Amino acid sequence: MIIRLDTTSSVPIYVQLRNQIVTGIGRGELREGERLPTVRQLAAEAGVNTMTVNKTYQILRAEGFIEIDRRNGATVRPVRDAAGQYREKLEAELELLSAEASLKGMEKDEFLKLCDQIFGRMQRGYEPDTSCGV
Amino acid sequence: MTFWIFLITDLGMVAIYIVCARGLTTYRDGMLLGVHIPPEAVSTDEVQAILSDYRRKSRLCHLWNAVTSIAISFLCFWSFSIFMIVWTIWLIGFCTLPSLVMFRTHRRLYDKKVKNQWFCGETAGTIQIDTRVAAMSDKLALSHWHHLPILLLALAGAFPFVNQLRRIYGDGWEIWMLPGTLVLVELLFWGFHFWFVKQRNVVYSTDSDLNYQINRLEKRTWSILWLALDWVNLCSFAILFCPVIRHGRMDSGSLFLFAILQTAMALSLTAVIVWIRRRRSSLLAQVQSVLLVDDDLYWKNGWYSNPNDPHLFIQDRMNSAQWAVNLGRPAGRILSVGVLGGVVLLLLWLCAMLVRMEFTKFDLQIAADTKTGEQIVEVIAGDYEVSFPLAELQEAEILDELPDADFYKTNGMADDHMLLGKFNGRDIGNCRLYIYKGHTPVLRLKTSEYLIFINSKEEEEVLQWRDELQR
Repeated sequence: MIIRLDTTSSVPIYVQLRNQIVTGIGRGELREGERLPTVRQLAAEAGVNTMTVNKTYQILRAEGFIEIDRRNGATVRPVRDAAGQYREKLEAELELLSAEASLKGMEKDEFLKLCDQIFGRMQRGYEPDTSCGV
Repeated sequence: MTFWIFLITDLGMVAIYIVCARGLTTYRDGMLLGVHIPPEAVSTDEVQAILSDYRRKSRLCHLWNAVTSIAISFLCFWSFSIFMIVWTIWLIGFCTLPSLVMFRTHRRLYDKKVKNQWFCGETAGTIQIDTRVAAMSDKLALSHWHHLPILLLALAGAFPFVNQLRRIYGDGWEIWMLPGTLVLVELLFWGFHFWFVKQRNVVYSTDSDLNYQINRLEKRTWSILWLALDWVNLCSFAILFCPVIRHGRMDSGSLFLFAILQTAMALSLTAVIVWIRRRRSSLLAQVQSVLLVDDDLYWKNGWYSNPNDPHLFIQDRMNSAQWAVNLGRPAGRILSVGVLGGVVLLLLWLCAMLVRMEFTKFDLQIAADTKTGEQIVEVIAGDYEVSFPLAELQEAEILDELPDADFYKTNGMADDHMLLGKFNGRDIGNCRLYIYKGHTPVLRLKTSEYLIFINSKEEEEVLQWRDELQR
């Protein structure tokens, strides 16, 4: 997967990294079980502090997109949202996006069509590996 | 000999500059003259006019450098120090002129690009990372720690060499010069290896396999090359050291072999640069479009200046075998000014020293010490002056000519006109020479500490020195 970081953007690097990795997993560019670069390797490639990459990996782990262990480092391992916590988060974010789209004059059909198109780009039926107790 | 060394070196440098300048005018990796432009822009009249102007100016520059280098080389037959001064000025001009032409043309093309909005690839400030290549980056090249045994071997070989030199020539910083050079070069190769391996991986395509292949090709080849050069360098110095350790003198055969190996190292470095470039081009020919980051903004003046980039050194886009210093960082500016200033000061100091050595007339004076009133003999020269109490003088004799002792310079100056400094002669040992070649007689002075051979351009003066010493 190719990550593109914009060093001139106001979005912090750790957020850009997090978003791109999540998008990459969603699109299937990062496959389940694939090992991510170590914190040191990714920091060297991005030209950032290791703390920045560490922060990204900790967020991704907390959100259930990757697993981190001492031996294998960071591995792609998306976990399904069983508790419905993600749904609550999605609703809140969609509400904001819907409000913005509505205020900017976008029709409901157009908004839903766009959502459908973008969702269609994601690799469907992601079956998480349950062998690790997930 | 000096004439040929300088002539061949100068013309070789001019030839390297010509090859580099020609490489810049070839559209490669989406760049022309170090500026990213779309392929369709290359054939436009505006770009072709800039290109032909650059070719004409750089041709003139190289012609001027070649002709003046030949003319200047003849000066060494007359006066080495004058030659060195003129050569230093030539060297500064040689480095500056083509660079100024290149920087100016680069900026013209960049301005044309901005005016025509010929932007391509990702915008400046974008960093591309291939996660699969990054995850394997530790396996792309040989570890730089392979240099450690070479360095240990160099140190192990350097000590018997220094001990032997100390036994022959006595103590002095000069005996550390060759082993010091060996260790320094070994460390330099280790440093190059480390730097090349630690370079950020380049993303050429969305195909991770291709990115892996190219980055592995470059890093592995460079790491093998630096390691091989390190071994060859160690061998070449071993060839140089062995006769000294065994017989106490360097022989011409080992010097010749040393020169052959060092030349082979330089040639293999050039061959590898060309080979990597060709191999990379053939691999890149498989992809439809190369992923580019258009960071020309940071190169707009011909040098790299990006305050947001934490890297101090990056690969030079004008010449992929060189490093560029990031002048956007204060450390980069300090380093550049320091190195450039240091080199210029070193050259100026060298010239001043050579002038002093060549134009200070050899003289011998006897003066009374202001404190003790003791008679002191002073040998005056541009450098390597000695003084000793007259009471310590054991012998002072006039020789018809300098003994034929196959004198070997340990530190000083030896050209077609004079011998000045510390020498070692067969059956004579360590001595100081203050000799104008082709002039006789020679005064030989011996003290408990020194053995001195001195002469003058006037025969009477040497006899006068002898008389004063005997009086």
